[in-house]
Amino acid sequence: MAEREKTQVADIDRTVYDMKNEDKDAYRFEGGLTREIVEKLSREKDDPEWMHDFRLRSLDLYNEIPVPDWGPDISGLNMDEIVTYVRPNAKMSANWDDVPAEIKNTFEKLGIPQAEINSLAGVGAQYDSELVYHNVRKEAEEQGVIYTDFESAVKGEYGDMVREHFMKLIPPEMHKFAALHGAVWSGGSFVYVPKGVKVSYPLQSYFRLNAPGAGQFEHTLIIVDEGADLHFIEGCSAPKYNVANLHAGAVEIYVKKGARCRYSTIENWSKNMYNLNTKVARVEEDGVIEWVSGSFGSHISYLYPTSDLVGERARSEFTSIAFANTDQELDTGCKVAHRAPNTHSYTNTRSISKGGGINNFRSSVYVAPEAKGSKCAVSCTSLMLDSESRSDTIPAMDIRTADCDVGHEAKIGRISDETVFYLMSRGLSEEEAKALIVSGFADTVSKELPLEYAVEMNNLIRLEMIGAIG
Amino acid sequence: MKMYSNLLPCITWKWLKMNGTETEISPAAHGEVALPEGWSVSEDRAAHGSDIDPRSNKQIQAALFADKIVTGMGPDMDRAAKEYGIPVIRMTAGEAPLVIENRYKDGDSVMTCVEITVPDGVHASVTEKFYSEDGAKAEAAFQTKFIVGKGASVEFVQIEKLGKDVTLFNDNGSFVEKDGRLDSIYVLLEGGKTYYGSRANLKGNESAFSLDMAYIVKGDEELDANVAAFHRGKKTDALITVNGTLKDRAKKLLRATIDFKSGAAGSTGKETEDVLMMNEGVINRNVPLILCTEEDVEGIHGATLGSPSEEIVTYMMSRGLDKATIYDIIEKARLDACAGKISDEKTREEVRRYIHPDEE
Repeated sequence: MAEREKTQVADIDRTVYDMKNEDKDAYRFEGGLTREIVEKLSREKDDPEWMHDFRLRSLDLYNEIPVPDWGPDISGLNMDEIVTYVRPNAKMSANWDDVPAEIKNTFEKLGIPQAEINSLAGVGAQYDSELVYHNVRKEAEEQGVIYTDFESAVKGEYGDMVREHFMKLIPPEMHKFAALHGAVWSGGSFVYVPKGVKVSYPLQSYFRLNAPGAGQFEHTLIIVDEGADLHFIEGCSAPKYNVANLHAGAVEIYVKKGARCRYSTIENWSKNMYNLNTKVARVEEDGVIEWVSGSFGSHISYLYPTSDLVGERARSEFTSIAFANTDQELDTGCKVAHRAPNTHSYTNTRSISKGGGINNFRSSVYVAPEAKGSKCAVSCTSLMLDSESRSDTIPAMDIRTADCDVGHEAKIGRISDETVFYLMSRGLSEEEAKALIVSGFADTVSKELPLEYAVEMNNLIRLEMIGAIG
Repeated sequence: MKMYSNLLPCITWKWLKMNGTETEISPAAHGEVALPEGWSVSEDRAAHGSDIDPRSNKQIQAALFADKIVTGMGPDMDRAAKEYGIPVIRMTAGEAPLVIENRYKDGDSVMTCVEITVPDGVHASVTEKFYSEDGAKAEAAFQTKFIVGKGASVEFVQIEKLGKDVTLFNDNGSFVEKDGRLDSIYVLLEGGKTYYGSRANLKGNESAFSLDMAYIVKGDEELDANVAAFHRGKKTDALITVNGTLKDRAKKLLRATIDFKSGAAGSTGKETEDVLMMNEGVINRNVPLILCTEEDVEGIHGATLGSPSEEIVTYMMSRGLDKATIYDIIEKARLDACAGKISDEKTREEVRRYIHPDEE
């Protein structure tokens, strides 16, 4: 089979995601989560004392906080079997030639080096628990943009900045998997965009989990300083195994006064993955956070990017699509807190359920008493492609000022027979007609993505639609 | 007894504190109902209680699939009736309208349970009024269950005008057979603490449920509500329309659910809520759910929350009205619109007088 470049594709084949490298990692911990394992990880990372203590406090919280009982069933995830740290047989490098051939080959097939050349200002590539490649373009570097692996940031010259911001938006008390993350985080990126700097190309982090039964716990901390502008892209995938894998990453974004950050994600984890990811942005005066999210993979997902609008006229936009197929339950949505006057938020989500897949849209909107003059709109549309599937919409609103406008609308339905019939009369097969309609349904999200990612998303939809008929 | 009620049919984050409500109920007496001509009453008055866990949606769903009535407030209301020895007044509807007027006095602690079977093809009209004497401190609970037969229909009107020191548990549930329909109207004019539940088990093909609800919650009043339509039959229809006004320090939580079950092909469900928040200090919470395991359905939810539109207020001010008058007109218009749907002229006029006490 000819090799292809995933981010430039006109076609797609699932085998590119399912390719597996032999699990000959240099080092992996035993399964489970104990104080000894956390201590060992802290030593492995050569953590400063504060981080060591933070990990242990998080572990205590993890042991205290119950497993959530309000969402999808995660009883199939046995933490005693999850390996929390797998160090690949590679050192991090800023040169692809230094990355071991097998790992490099994986990322090449995923199209990362080519995308870096064509359209990115920097790339971080994580393989299992560690980054194997990290580089930032000279132009971005000259603008003062810091884009580095997280471990270096913790211990290096940005250590104080990291300590000031690390897990302040996602404290380990937040929920069980935030606590887990605090205890065993490894890898991830630190980004700082200085005041007034507009980064003209996106930065991208790609997370690849190769080891069966492993967890990935990368931490991404982004600070977009006053008046700055950044587009950050996150991609993730893993081959399918018969054992559960876990992703419990954390993304913290600080959008300072007048700054803008767009965070785009195409998530395509394999269908044995428990994706329990947490993302929070804190947005100051006149700042903007834009979330663009496509969820296609994983067995179970809990994912609710949160916008905390703390500054006057802060704004958030959340655009997402979730496609749940057989053996998938995607519990996705968002949270928005309006905590300052004249803040605005707009949420537009689409979900598609097929082949017994389950989509839950879950959201919360909070408008504080001081958020006078705020506006919020939530729109949620769901498409059911068969009656084996399920789609639930669970939005909650808590409004505490009269001086606001809040609107919510949700719709659920099916593909109309008339539309399919019309397209078939134009020469399309039923399968092609339905795929086209679903692509159109997802258009609100794909048009928000860079072209090559939009193409990839449409191809993923087409792939998922194969066999949709009958 | 301690009670857990108004469980959201699909729970969400616990920190939101919207999944259900913990409260207490301790009725000391039971109410009776005078039946009109043509209605009959059963001698079986035993409360059967419930063995369903009030926090378990799985058990509630299983009961609904077993053709049971599970009310909006949930199984603890049935349990309370049994624990406090409250008889269930089981009756079969006739053609004459049934009007139950409850007027609570100071110190009352009353629970009334009625179960109304509407035979196939019969149209029944049931009106329940909840009033209290001035200054009364009381606890009232009223549970109404309907079994709506094939092709039968019910107009079910509830009017609440209670003092600020009265707590009302207003709990409703229904089971609707083929081509049956239950049309409910609930006008909440005044109340201290109101717990409200309504759940329709739409088993029959082409069965229907509607709720037209208008409320004004003001002062320190609270409204905690749970409305759910459980679509099982083919081509079932639910329409939930809520228009409300919150004033002063009022608190409101509305859970409203359209639940399409597998097999409910061709069904439609629509739920809308429009809430006016008239001043700072009010708390408005809502959780509108659409749950779906059937492809061939159409479900829609819409909500608008906030203060009266500036354009309307400005226009009316340009006509010489002051802001207080304009707000008064707007809030009363919402109640009028709902009350106007009551088909019985006498009741409609009674409600209108409550809404406009200064008019002749």
